[in-house]
Amino acid sequence: MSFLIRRLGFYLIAAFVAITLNFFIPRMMVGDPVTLMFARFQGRLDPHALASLKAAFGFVEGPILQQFATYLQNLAQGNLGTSVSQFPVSVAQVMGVGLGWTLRLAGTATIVSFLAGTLLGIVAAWRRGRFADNYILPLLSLLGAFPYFFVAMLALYIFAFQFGWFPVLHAYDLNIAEDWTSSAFLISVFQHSILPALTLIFTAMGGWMLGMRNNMIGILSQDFIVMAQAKGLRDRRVMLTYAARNAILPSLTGFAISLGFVVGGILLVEIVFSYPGVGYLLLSAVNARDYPLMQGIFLLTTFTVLLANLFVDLLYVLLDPRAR
Amino acid sequence: MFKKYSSIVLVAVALTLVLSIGVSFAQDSVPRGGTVVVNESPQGSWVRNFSPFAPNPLPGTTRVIYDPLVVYNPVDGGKPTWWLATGSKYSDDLKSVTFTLRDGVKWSDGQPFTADDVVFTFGLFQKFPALDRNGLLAFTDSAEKVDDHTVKFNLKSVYTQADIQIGGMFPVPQHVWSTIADPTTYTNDNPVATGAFTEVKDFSDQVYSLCRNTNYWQNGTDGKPLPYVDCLQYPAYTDNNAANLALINGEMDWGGNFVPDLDTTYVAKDPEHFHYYFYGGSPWVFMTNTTKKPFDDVKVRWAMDLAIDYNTISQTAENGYTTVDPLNASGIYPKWKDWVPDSVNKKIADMGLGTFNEDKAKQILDDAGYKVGSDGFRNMPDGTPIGPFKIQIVNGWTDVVTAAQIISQGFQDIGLNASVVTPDFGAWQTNLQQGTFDTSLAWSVWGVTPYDFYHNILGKDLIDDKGVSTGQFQPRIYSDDITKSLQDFLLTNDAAKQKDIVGQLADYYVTNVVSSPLSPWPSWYEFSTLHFVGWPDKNNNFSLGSPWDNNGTRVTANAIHCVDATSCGQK
Repeated sequence: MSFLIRRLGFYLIAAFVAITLNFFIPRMMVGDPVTLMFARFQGRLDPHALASLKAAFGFVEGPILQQFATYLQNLAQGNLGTSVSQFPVSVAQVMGVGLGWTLRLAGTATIVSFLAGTLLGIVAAWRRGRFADNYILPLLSLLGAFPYFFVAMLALYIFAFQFGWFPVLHAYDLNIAEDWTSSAFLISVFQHSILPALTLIFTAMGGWMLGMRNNMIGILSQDFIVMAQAKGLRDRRVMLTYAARNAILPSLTGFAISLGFVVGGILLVEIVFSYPGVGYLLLSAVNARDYPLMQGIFLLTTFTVLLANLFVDLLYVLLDPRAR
Repeated sequence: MFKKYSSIVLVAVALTLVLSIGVSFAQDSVPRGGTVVVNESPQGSWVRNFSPFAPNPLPGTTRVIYDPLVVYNPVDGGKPTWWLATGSKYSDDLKSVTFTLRDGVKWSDGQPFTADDVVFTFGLFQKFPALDRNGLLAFTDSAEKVDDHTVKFNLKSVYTQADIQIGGMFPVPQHVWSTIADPTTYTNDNPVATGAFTEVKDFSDQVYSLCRNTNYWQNGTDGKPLPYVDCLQYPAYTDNNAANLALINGEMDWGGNFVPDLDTTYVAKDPEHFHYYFYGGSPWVFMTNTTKKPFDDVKVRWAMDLAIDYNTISQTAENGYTTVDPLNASGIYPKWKDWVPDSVNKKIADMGLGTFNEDKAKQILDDAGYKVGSDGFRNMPDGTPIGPFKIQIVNGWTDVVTAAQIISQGFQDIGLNASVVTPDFGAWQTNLQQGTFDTSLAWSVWGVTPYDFYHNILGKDLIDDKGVSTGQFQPRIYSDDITKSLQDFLLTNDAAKQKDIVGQLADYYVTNVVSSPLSPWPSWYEFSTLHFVGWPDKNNNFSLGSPWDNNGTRVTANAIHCVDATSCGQK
């Protein structure tokens, strides 16, 4: 119990620090949102519009501590504020647009790559020096070593552009209306997600596989494994319930953190495949110095990571009796 | 006998009927229908916001949904294309301007468009200054309805740009907006407007369509209301590359994309249907920060002007795209070249401005006392080295970065220690506004008369007392005479007097080498004739073509139609 309270206390402090840094760091960047927005039009906007824009965005001007106080007040009420670059739409609404897609694509890809990578890692460790260990592991590690956008663009060019096996852009066919009850729409979503998901999965799998394999090898050398085998337990049982169960613990922490970062968006995927999501939203928010939107996305990311960490902390206690 | 003739008469009548129908059909019929896929510029995902007052409304809102009073088509050299208004006239004392509105215009919900709507919109600006995107409150006192189709704007003082700025306003329907409590936060999800495309169809974060306004006021050559096409579809793209991919794949009919090496990347994929046409857009200039030494010396600026390789920039950086004449070194746009006095042109020729002449540049610097030091770079006349300086340009704008590099090389050749730096857009822009830059490439304003160019580059009223500019990029050269000339321009409506003043401004600009105009940057515009024709091109440039052009986009959208009746509606 005291463990739980201590952990919660730690996370609360971490959350507060995150909120504060979240507010101040973007404002350290050179430039302010209003004049930036004006300049974006490259002389096509009437110069006199600047005064009107400044009037519209009074909420990002003023003494900084006052702005911080307002920000905290709003946050306590669950109000993330109004976006500057997408004025007058609220930050929550802007984020909601991309969040669904990001969670679906990045979430699925992260989970699948973790499961597949971990399973392969178990196999590679158990059958050391055989096929999985000698061929699959180096191949996946190689794929993971390339910069992601390189692999993605190559895949896009070869499989989508040249061979035409997959659609080139977007999350679904533009001529099908967005209707989650329609099977045509769902099929289109699935088709468009294959290439982005596969590139994500194959580049991430190598890391999980390597990590799991190394953890396993460490465990396999221990006495209790020999004991289990001596007792006559089936190989598979020893591999999974004895070795893997202990070996997976370090990987789980990494997995939790990855899940947390899922909400930060997968910027490179979104750029290469023109896939909607939170990553590009964040990039354009930074470019436009859209402080409220940046704060909203950063906040979501940090909170999710913290939550994921808390979750893993608790899970650890459950899985590993030694930690209790 | 009657029977014999009656059959002939019958045949003759039938023949005439058929022929006349056939002839009139061939003359006036235009294939109607179809959905045009447009890309204005990559913007990520769409968030529903069709308010013409939003700082960032969705593409199409101020281009085809809402109409201004007057369209100033850039290729028309400032001549007004009357749109919702059919005329404007100043009073004799120039303190008011009266607009006559077009008859028979209806809002997309069927209600009539009248002077009440215009007066109401101006009233909105007065109540909520944040909406005043055209800056009318600075010079307009009030708007009064003279009758259902006439509005009189009373000015605070004489300001002869008033008709142009007021002409750009987008009236909104009083019967809709008077019910909105806070128009500054209203996202106007279902716009009621007078434009050709007002119906929003199938809105999602990835794509939306703007479809035909059945109450549109303009008719086509076939006598039926415009537009010829049914809808404009706007897919969302996160990146220029993604947009280009769609363009190359033939999935986009109308693009405003920056495409490197257009002929091989785009046109070669389908030379019969893929086209581009770039009428020159915003004039880009090279400018120095004259608050920093040695840029405060006109001789140094003069020498730098001569060290710029204009032709190579035009060829390499922009692939020779622009089809219009290069900019006159006075900054006056080619379509206004008769505004440049002969004396100014002579000065330009004597000074060699706008030409690449490294020897002359070196000569000028030597004569002015900037001798080359032992490190190969020049020193100030007092011996201190001219410190290394930067040419700043936005990271990622590859065509302009290339131009900057060519310029930097030219400066190095004449002994100036220049190098290129590429901050992100926000930092680049802030440096220019705060006056902390060394030198920079920047766009300049391209307005309805040459006045805008000079006002934006020489106007002291655009700088606040801390030296921060309110949006425009300036080398910080000012003079009281010029300030007076700029003000005088606004006080007169006499074309001859205005030309005279512009001549004085041009003379000052050239004599002081205020900045160096490079070339009009291409106004990106690609179009595919696979499904739709009627596009503006170099043989028929009735409009700029670019889907992001404030004025001309609506003209282009009204002109295009599908190739033939069978291809309409089939994509």
